Amino acid sequence: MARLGRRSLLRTATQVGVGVLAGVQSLGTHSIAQASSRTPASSPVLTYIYAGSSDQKALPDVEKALSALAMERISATVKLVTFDWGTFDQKISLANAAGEKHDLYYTAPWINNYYTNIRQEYLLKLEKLLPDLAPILWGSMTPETWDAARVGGSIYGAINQQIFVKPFGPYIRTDVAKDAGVEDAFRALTSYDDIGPIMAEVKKYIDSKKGGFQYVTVAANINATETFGYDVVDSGLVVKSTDTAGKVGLYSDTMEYSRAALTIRQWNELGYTPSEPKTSSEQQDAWKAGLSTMMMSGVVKPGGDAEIKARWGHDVISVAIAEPLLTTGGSTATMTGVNSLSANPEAAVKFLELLNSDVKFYNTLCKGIEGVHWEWDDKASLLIRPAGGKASYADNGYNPNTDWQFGNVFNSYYTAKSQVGAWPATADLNRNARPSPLLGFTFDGKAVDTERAACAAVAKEFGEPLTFGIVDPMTQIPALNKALQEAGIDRIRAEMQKQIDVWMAAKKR
Amino acid sequence: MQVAQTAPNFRRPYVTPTGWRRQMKFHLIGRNLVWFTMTLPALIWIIVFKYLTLAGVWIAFIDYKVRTGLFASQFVGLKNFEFLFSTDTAIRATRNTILLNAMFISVGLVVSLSVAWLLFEIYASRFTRYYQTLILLPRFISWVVVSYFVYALLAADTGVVNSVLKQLGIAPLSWYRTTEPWPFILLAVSLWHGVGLSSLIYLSGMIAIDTQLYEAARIDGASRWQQFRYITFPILLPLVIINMLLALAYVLNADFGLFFQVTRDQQLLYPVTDVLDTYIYRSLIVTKTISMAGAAQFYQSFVGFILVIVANAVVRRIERSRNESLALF
Amino acid sequence: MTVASPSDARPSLRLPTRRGFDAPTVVVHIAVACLAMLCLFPLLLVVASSFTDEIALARNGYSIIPSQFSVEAYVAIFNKPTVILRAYAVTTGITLVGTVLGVSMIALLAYPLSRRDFILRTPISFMVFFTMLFNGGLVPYYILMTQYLNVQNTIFALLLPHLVGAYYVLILRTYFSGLPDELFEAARVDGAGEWTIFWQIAVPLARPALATIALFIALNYWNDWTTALYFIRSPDLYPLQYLLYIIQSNAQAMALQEQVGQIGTQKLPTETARMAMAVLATGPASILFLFFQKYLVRGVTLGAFK
Repeated sequence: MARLGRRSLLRTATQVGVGVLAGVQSLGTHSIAQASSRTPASSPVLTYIYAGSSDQKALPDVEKALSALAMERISATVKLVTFDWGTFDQKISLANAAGEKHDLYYTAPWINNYYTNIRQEYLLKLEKLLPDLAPILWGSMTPETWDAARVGGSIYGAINQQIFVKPFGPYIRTDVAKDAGVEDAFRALTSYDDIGPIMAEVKKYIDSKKGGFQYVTVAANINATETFGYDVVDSGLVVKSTDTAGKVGLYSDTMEYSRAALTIRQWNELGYTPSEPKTSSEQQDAWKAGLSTMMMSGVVKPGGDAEIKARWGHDVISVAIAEPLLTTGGSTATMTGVNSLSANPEAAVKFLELLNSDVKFYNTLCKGIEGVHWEWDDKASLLIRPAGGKASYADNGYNPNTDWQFGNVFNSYYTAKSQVGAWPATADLNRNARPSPLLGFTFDGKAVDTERAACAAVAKEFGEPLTFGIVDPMTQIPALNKALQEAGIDRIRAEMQKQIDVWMAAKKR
Repeated sequence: MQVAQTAPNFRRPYVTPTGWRRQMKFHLIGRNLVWFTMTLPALIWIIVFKYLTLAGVWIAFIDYKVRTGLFASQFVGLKNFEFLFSTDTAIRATRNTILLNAMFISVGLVVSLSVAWLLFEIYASRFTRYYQTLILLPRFISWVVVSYFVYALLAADTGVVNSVLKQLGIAPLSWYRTTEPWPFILLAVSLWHGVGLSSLIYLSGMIAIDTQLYEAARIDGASRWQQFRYITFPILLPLVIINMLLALAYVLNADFGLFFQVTRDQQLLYPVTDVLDTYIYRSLIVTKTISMAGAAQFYQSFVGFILVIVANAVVRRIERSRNESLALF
Repeated sequence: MTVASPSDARPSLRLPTRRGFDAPTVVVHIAVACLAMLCLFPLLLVVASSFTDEIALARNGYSIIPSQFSVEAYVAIFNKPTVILRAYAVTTGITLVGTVLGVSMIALLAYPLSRRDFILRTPISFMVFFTMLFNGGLVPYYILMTQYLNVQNTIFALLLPHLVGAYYVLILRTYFSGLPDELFEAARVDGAGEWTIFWQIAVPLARPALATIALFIALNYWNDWTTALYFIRSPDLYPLQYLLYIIQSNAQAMALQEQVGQIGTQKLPTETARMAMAVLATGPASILFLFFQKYLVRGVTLGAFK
């Protein structure tokens, strides 16, 4: 190992390294910081952050098209910034914490938590700006719906209109339904009680080894509160949708919960479900790999079957069992917020209006540029297809497929024949759904944070085995409720009832 | 002496100055200037990346709100710390960190010494190189990849462990949902990852011991264990003590990669696996309570600081009694 | 007597003599061999899973021998290799440049700190080692990088943070202190300037320690996934480990979406594809590091850690 050897090794290493770096250096120029530095008062640059896959190659082209449109209508250009789904929460939290000056971003109760953002003052109050600068958007939903997004009297996010209600119901793969001869029975389902015989048939079919399936269903959870007409507020505390007085009860204490748990247990004992609980990604893998024939609890919406086919490649039949219920959680499932530190709040709200009212603008963001990424199949019924005769939209380089993340999905063009007509049907569903007595109410849990955390842990520990049917509900449910008592569920309940009573009294005035 | 002969291209001959210049040690100034220039790149880096960011320590004492930022947010004194210690989560995180670290350190020491001794016994063999390579290999694997194969082992339906249990007729466990085994799982993974390097360090200490001592002991009829106990261990003791003290000084710091990746951030496991570093991460990203994160971080650094000073003082005392140079600073 | 052993090659070390194959030695060999196998086993598991058919994996689970051999995961990756190739380019680039730069900076800092005549020795030492104790936290670090240094989403964000580690300065300083002063004095008498002494005497003599810290710094760069998490948004700049993390957490995030009733259509890599990525990301690097680990061993053995 001569001295010379080491030096030449060093030299080579440096040369190679610098060479590689130089090649890579030119890449990566999307800097958020740039946006705030380029803001002459006349034409602001609006930075819009949302979650998406990073392989949308045509994003710069779409951005240019959108900027051109935006320049015409609202005299502003657009900068689109995408974070991967897996790290969206982390990146946006950091960006907000560091006080970056992006303008708009995606927020929801289940990711980049809307309520936490409000508490940390990351979101701008919109209730005054929306009616002035975004009248169409403001008028597109009823005041009660907008109330769902209110916290402490102010609205902090623009609701993206989509299916608000959760008509839960089972799905079954079409090929299985036909082969096992249960198609008609399935379509006639009205309650989970009747599904037993169908599952028995399917089990016989599986056991005959046709098609290579392993489970009737990988997850038998039919215990979602909306299924039985309960609006869940927090920590497993619910209000029955028919109860206008808003009395809070414990969901795991109800008749419906026990019956559902017993049913799930029965299914598990009959071998319809796996003996070991599976995580959600395991469930997805199993469904994708064709090991499972049914999904017990999916949101059954108009056009939903087409979405599932697009996502997983399986044809399915779905039947809605739960009555559609309009809740706060359902209405605020997806929203776009304006950064409280944005340098151009008015332009940002105008952008929201543009996004939610201008059909061409919205669909450019959702689907891409006409003729390049998609083309008309049937303009009259608003049906499109991949441009250039490609098999799928992704082949053309732009297919985020998250219309619900951007704005009003009812403005979106239909991407598959079976989807046509879904939007008016869904809007009807929303409109005709029974509103929960608590629509517009948000629970402020700060005073009982410790109890909430404890109860959440208990719910997971005791409740999960019940949703998978691997324990006897007769002993487990009392144990669950007892543990919840010890964790302080009554204190949460009292606090919640207090807040509801105050809110209801204020509403009546 | 050889070096001077093989390096001929020096400048003009250097003559040590005499007289008043020497007394003023002028000859040292030039040297010092050069030395100072040498330190500049790294020093600037340290000032920028370590000292400028120290301003963040202030977050622990304010109610950090993004609009008012670091300097204009309201000063709240020790209230953040009060709140921090009143929450069960922070206390639990501290307890987990200390207990788990203590376990890692103690078991790690025994295992590393044992492995080092075993390697020492067969060091002359040509297989030892291969063993050593394999034992060091885990150290080079990133925690992300580690999380992949821990999953392959512990996944509920498809994992290797559960498959084996099923074949043996034992009921399989939902590993990622049960808290009890996790301290030991983490211990095993931590050992797997770290034994390579720690045993190497102890091994190098063992190699430096004069073999004549061992020869004498063998002639006197000492067994292997007696050789270890009376020769190896006492001579290695300073090294062991330093390592222990350093590890103890960092007892509130955990390897974020290990606790975040390997547990896949499963909420059900938090009672046993949540440590200060993951708690700080969640305070920043999930609950977005920046001040809490700042307070927890300051508390971690501060306690660590005290512990390092104490540890260093103890090491100095050992030094003095043994007349060797061991301390950190 | 003593058989020819490695001890002959290193005259300064004396190693235990080979005792031949007596029972205890065989036992020790077996024990250590088992340990070595245990260390290797998890990695073999990952390799085996990557060569398993996806459906067979979901049915039969993971095992050390694939239940059904298939290279479909690798085919899928090599069909669209740009992702992993670019990640390799990024990671290799920053590792090479970062290591060379980092080791140089650390050596340049450690050497003067080891000189007793250096006036600023104590204050600078204190400055350096104080940083080992106190940490400003993530938020100011993030603000520094994005708002003051403006390196967000550039290659420098990956390069700069790991250049100087106080621990390595310590190791190197100790090593430099251990070098005999007479050498330096003699060189000075012969007319060498401080730079010359550094480059031509100190550095070559410190090769084992330098190699050791170079290995650790390279490892830091190679395995780093958090820096990209914080600062990199463009997929062109994803380093390898971050890529592995992303494909896993994306899958989990997709599952979350479904629970809320929304459906996107990202084509997610299957479990076997993720394992294949892991093998491709780690395999070549591990083999390379294995070659260099002998320098680590030498470095540690010759007292880098003393």
